Amino acid sequence: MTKTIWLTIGLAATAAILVAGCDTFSGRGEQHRASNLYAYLYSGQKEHIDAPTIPVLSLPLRVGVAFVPVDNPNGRNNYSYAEDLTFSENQKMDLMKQISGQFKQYPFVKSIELIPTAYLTSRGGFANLDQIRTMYGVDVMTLLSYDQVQFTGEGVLSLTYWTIVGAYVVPGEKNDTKTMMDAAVYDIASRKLLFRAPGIGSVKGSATPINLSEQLRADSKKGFDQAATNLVANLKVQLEEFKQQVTNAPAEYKIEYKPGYTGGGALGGMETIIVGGLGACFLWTRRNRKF
Amino acid sequence: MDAPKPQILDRRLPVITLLLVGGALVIALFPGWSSWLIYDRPAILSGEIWRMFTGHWIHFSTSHLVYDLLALGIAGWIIETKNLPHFGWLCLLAPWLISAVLLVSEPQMNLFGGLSALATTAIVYLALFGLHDAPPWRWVCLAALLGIAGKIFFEMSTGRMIFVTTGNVPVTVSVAGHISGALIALLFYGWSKMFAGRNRQ
Repeated sequence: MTKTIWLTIGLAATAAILVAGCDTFSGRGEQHRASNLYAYLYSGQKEHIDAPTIPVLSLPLRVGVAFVPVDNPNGRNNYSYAEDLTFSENQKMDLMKQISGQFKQYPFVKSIELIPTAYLTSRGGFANLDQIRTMYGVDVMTLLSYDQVQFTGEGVLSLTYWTIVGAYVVPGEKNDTKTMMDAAVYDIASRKLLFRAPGIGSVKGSATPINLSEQLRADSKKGFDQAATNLVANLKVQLEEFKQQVTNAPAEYKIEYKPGYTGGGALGGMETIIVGGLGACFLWTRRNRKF
Repeated sequence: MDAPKPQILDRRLPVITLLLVGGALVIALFPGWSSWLIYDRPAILSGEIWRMFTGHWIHFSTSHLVYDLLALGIAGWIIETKNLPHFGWLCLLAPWLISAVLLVSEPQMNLFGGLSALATTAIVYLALFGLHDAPPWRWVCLAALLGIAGKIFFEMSTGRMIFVTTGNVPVTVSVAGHISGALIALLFYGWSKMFAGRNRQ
């Protein structure tokens, strides 16, 4: 009898531990939120190869900015899943505004459209981008994606983020928050990646078991903020490099101007030096009666 | 090249230059006039041909106006002080010719504004005559010609991406305007020399 009781208690305890264990390790000891660019663009084309085409940039450009939707194998946006309280639509919109501010500084950008994620279909690919292009009249699309992991478990952990150009592996420690953001700028018509800029955020874990969920939420927000700031700074550099690249590599990009553009002169430093030199020399020679 | 010869400096007011600069300033003070005066390709093709002349006096921002007037003002003042020939005719005909070139060479360009092409014409015209003068003026003029040629070459090779924002208007740099301005100066210089040669005979 006693033996049976002890056996029952033992079995119950083992079952309880196993259930708890499943729950703890089902998420591999981490909280993960992500939207994946690769899954959005190429999930339906495992053997995808980009055809080598020369993008035709019709200046000034109309640029669209949007967050890639959270990947859903069903191919539809599941808003209950996509809605993330930590990285809210408001935060996304703020980041898109910052990014549009970077583009606005360049006169070759005519307009910037901030496109809500709801207009992008999960795994929509370039077919979806073509729809956006028609709907908003944009030439170039800046696709933003993110990947954030909060390591709540023990052990050697890492965040692996798949971008179009390869995988990032970021090592993490317990209660650390690692955030990766990516802005990929595509010419929609040629399906060509014009340039990309990454942003990384890292928050060291300071949570205790008592305030764990609260602290993780705060760290998550801080991580997104850090990554966004880093992304905007990198984007600025990449935009400048892209401008130089287009100027210096005419074989890689075809430039044309949109019908109805406005023309004008660009007198500036060079002409000021020339006429300044002419004026100064003229005054000097007149004073010295050289001619 | 002719031997350096002394030139008579004119101490009168540079009237033509003052008219050119004053006109641009007056138009800038009354922005409402711009819509009637600007180079507007569809309007020109529908008969409003005065825009081919007046369009050059329209500027899109203060900096656009200042740079253009500085260049044209200094070059025009020196030309008139040095009493170079046919400057009045040059200023009267060059805007029409530049606009005609723009109409043919830039069919996608709807609007154009600025005195930069005329300023280029004046600088090149002045520098070409200066090649006949004594140093150091001759060398400065040669340097100015090389500078203008270099700038045009730079614009031609990289002009694909030369975009400037004047005010809030994204403006494409019209390389054709600057080239035509320089060529018109060369044409007038040749014509002046030919005219002077005939008079001497």
